[in-house]
Amino acid sequence: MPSQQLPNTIEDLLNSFSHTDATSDQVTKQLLPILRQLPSTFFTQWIGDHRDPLDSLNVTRNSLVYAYILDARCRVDRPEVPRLLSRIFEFLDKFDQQQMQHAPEKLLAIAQDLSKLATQFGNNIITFKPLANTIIKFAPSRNHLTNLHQFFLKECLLSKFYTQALPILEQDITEIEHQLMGINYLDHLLYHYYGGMVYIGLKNYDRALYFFRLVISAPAVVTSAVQLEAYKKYVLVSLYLYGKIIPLPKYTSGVVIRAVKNYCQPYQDFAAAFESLNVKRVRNELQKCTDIFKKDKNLGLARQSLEAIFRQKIQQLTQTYLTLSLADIADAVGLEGPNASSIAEDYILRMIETREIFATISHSHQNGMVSFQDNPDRYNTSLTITKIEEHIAQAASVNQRVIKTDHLVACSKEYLSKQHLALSGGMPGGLGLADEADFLGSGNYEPFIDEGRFFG
Amino acid sequence: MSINLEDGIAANAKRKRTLEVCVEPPNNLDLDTYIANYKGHTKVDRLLFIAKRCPALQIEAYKLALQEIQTSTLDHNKYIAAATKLNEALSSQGRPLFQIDSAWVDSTQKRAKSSVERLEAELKNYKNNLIKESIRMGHNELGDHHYNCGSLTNALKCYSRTRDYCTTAKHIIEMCLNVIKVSIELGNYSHVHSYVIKAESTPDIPSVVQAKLKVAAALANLDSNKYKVAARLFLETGFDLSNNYSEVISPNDVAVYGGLCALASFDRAELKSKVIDNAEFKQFLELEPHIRELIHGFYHSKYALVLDILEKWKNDYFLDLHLHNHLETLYDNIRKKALIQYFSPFLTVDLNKMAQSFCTEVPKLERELAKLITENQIQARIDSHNKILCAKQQDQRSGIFQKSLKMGEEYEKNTSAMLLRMNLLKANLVVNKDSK
Amino acid sequence: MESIKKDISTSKHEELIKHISAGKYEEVIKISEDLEYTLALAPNSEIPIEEVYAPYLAAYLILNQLPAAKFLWKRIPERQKTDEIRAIWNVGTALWNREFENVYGLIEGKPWSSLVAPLMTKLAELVRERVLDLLSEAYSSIAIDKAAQRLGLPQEQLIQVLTNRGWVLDAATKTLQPKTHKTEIVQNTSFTNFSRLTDLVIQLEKS
Repeated sequence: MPSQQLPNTIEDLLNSFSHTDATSDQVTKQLLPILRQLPSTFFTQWIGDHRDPLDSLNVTRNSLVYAYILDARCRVDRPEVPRLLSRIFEFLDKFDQQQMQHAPEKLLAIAQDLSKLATQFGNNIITFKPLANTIIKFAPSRNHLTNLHQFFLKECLLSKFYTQALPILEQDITEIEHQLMGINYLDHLLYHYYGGMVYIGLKNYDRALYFFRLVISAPAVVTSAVQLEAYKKYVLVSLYLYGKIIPLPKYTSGVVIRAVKNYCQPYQDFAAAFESLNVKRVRNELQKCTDIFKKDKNLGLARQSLEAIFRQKIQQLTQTYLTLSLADIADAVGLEGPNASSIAEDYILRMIETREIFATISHSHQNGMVSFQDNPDRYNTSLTITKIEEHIAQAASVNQRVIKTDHLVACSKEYLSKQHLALSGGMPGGLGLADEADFLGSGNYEPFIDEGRFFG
Repeated sequence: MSINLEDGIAANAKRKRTLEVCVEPPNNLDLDTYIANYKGHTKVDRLLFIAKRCPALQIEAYKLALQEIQTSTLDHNKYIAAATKLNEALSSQGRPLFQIDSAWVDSTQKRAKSSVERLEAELKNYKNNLIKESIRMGHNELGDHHYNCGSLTNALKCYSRTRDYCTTAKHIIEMCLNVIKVSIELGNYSHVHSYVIKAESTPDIPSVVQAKLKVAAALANLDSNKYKVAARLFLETGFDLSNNYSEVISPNDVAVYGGLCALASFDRAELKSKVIDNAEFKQFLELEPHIRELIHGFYHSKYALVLDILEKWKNDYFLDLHLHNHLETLYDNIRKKALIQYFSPFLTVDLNKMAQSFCTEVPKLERELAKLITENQIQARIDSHNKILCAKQQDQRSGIFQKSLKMGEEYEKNTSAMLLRMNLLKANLVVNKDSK
Repeated sequence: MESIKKDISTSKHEELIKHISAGKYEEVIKISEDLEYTLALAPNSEIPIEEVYAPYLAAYLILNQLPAAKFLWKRIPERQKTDEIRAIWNVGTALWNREFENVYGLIEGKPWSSLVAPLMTKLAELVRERVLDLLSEAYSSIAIDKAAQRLGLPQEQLIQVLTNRGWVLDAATKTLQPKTHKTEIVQNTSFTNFSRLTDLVIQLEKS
């Protein structure tokens, strides 16, 4: 077995573990410190008789060493793109999950290599499938966040292949194993921020809102630039859907709330105008904020929410009127011009199609008359049952994870010592969440940190 | 509109006293009878207020005010100011000017000055002798004098200083009443609130004083737009008040203020139990029969009558020192209440008939109703085509299904989010400056 | 290895053509995604990628997945955007802007390639069907000229088509009244419901 002494040639390294009976996990633990000390030039060596060391390795059994050699080879000046690509595909297909959990950063490096080579090859589309499969393989469950998540989403965004991200995005992230998966807070922020952007692109605004909310309400003692950007989009999506800013969770960190006030004022002004439901005011405010929105790449979204104001006002009318003429509707929602009635009719048609409202238009009366109805769904069909059952199943799955976490917390040292303190009359006891106070407590505001690399 | 307010008034915005207003001659006001209900400063203030806002009554009001200043106060500044205004008005109408009684001004000025000196010297003397009761009296007399001369802040200071020398409950009440009176004049209603509370915590309060305190508190709540509380306090005011508080308010005012606030803020049941069946308040209402008629008309759903009375008295109330800046809101609320009450017993209502009852046109009524529906004050929908207002049919079963499906979704989202958060905290993945 | 990939793409392409003629549009998209991936790895001169993009884009439109179609349009490299692909996307833009009345003209006035033609014919049919459904749900009566415009049909033909479907013509007001229709929802109570109910009870017991 190798001692802490470093091997001289790649052959020494390969020989050092090729004849051992130890489990791969033990080998990995012994190997890793050595691998980490070796320079990358070491891994680009060939075996004496011009054999490729990768050929003498089993991808699955020797994943870790394989990864080190592969990564080093990808980073040389002029890599052999097609050959390396097929090596990477093979590796990602067959690597051993447990070994790589000891060096998650190497797995990420390989993923980055893949992306870089794909660009040189001429098309990043070839990365999606291997990356998605790798994520699923690497994570202990579909609810675990890995260090590949945000990288993968960024690839999808940059290559304009949003639908590829959906199979990953549809699973809620609830589990964090930060050492095994090699993640830090930024992985969580970026993954959910990019995810929100994908959902905006695919017009699933509900889910986008949920993703941005996760970013903004992440535990924080300072504010990340990602959180500010997420807030800006959160405001606009929230306006688009509900006509107002949906309140953030109570546990949102105080520093973030203050930072948002300082740095996102135009968005809050826009929202205030929006809440007045005064079309003119919203238009003015949009005019005023155009440059800022453009700079933030949010102008398209803001324009969409402007359109939403008409829908919201029509929605309101359905609560107030049983019948109303098209001209009166156009007038009430603030549409102007000679075509106002016809534009109103288009809005109504669209809202009927998306089942936002229930109404019928009649052209028999002069100028067109609209009758509003209630949702005809009386919830008395088997569709309702199916829907409810789906929800129950989902809730049950979340519940199971809650129970699991609850057990873990109950057994944790922190919890037990807190319980102990509580019993002896020290601190008030509580679940692990009591930690929260510490995070919220740090009162003084520090300027947000600009990671500067969260997009592009 | 009989008036033109300079600024559009938002319903809840605290109003400044709007002075640049012009009110047309009121329908009912007889200045002499009206003002005979008051004495002292409020009499002068009310006259000056009317003079400023109502050109038709301007000259008469200024003359009455000057008379009152001269007979019951030493406030020569106010006298000169009022006289100047009067002469402006007279000269603009080409009428002979009012002769300013400069002899009175001079002598009053001198008298006021010497009195202050005398009273201050006396007070100093008392203080040296350390006789508590004399010191209190000294402060009080000096306060009264300042009050007479119209320097209200000085008066307030003196009255407040008596506080340390009060030895009996009676003294405390006297001090409180003095402070309250001056504070009302100054428009400092937070003071009024706290001194009413202070006074009410003393034992054995005479019923007249109790009535005074109720009215003072009511005025303070009226000022801060808390109409319901104000209404309740006016309604609890004992008729013992009579003319005993005419330096602040008349019993007629209690009827008017209380009646309007109650109409604007009570529901029908409260109106019956707290106003119509209130024997004490009935006596106030006898003084202002049209308010009684208004309340009964409202209760018996005679809305045309109600609106007619309100309209007829509108100008009168725009000339009221305390009521003028609340009138729009109060009237709006009463109208809203009437609309709601009108519809309450029905499943459908013909908008044409309803518009008639409320002396308005259908399109305007539609807008009013739409607003009430949006505010969720009426559970109904408008059939604009057939001009009918229809009660909303509630389908509880569907509502519950809708709600529980939504709750289920929320639950999933929130639980997932909390779970993620817990695990982030457990792993110490907190947005932080150094640890990434 | 390269040649194997080429064989894969050839066989996939054949499959694609089969799915198009069978009208299996989800499959068309799935295979197209695969082909986009395979051809990116190993270009195959026998199957030019632009011939894959055209039915791919059309299939997204047929399934009304407009955002996905938009992103596909965006990721097609400029040099591979053939006239036909551009023409398909013009239809896509009209759909995106809900200008249904323009859709028919954009489709019907164009000589499509034999690969794409059946898809575009289907698209026009589906859009007309969708608009017709919407109109019969959204209107109690609709002006003839408005209906003609929205469905892209001349008035005589429109009246013919709609009255055949049970709509009623009111010549006095020049309106058409849709047949009142109710969509029947199949109520299937079966044993699966029972077994799910049992699961649910067990679930509740546990927590």
